[in-house]
Amino acid sequence: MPTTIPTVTSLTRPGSPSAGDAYYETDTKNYIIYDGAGFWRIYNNDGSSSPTFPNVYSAELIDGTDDRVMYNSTSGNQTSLGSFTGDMSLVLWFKQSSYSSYKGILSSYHHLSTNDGVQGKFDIDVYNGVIVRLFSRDSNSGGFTDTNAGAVSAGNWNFIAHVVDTSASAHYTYLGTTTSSPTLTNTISSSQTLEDFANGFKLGDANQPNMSGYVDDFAIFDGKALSSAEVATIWNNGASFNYAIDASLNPVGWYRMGDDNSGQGTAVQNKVNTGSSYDATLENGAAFSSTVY
Amino acid sequence: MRTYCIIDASEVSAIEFDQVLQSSVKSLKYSLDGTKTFVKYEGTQPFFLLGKTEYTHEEILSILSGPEWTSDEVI
Repeated sequence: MPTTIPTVTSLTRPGSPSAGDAYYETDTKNYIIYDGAGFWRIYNNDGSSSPTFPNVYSAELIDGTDDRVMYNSTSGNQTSLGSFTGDMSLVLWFKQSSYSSYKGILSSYHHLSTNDGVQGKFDIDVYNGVIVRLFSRDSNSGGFTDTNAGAVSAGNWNFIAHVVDTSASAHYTYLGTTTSSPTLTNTISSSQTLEDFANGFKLGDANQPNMSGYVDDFAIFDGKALSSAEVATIWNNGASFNYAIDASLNPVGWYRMGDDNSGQGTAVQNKVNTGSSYDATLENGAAFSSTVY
Repeated sequence: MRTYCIIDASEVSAIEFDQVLQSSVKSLKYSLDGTKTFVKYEGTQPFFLLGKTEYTHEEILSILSGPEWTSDEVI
């Protein structure tokens, strides 16, 4: 005979519980038990039998001022991930916690002599938590601005893939969530390449104010324009994708944001090009988070 | 709770990075003209920042969204 646990929500917990009272919270999916000493003991939901994103750790960009995940191959102790002078692709999961105005999601790292890293030559930002914008300034001939490259879901995990296909002289943007498969939301006709990524990348930081929230499972590909089928494969039904199971994808960088080092320290390990010279870094107060949500 | 102080770029050499949340000189974010940056900390104001105006999270976000720190440039 199964036991049915009584349900509440996080806003309707009983005001005068007794020790041992237990409930299932329908909004958080957590199991809570009152300890009789003034506290609810919370047993976090850690997923269902259906794949859900994220896996255990992600990188939390806490205050939206300057915390970020940085890879700076101009610093002298990190190795460039590639030349990025032709086909390339990048994939990122992100979840914002603040939505006002513009928030920088991702950019290439551009080394400036006076104020380092102010602005990359390729930026992705999100307006009001929803509208994706793209900016590319990597050369004079092919630069572009796209102020409506698709819509993301505010407050949820979003999947973005940006693909540079030089044979088609096109840039493709795919967007999805944990519950909706990525779709091609934007095509830009441009021969623009994104070689500024040879200098590195920044997550959560771009030409606009930094984002606050979470980033996870960033992957970057040099010499490869992902197909729509490959993008769908990486989306993996809204779960973290394991690149080790498909050698044909072959990213040059795959950053799992703490899942490879139990969320310790500030080094963000590169799962495919190993060694500290390929690690990214949590900077300016960013931290690994194991919050399940 | 984090607190924020804006400093002149010329004062960067005085930053004691073990007392702020910024990682290093190279990780600092500057105003568009390169003359100002900021640091953040938790707890009491570090000695090297004494006399500097302290800003709350909400206040610094408003400042960083302004034209001195954020460009409207699109290309």
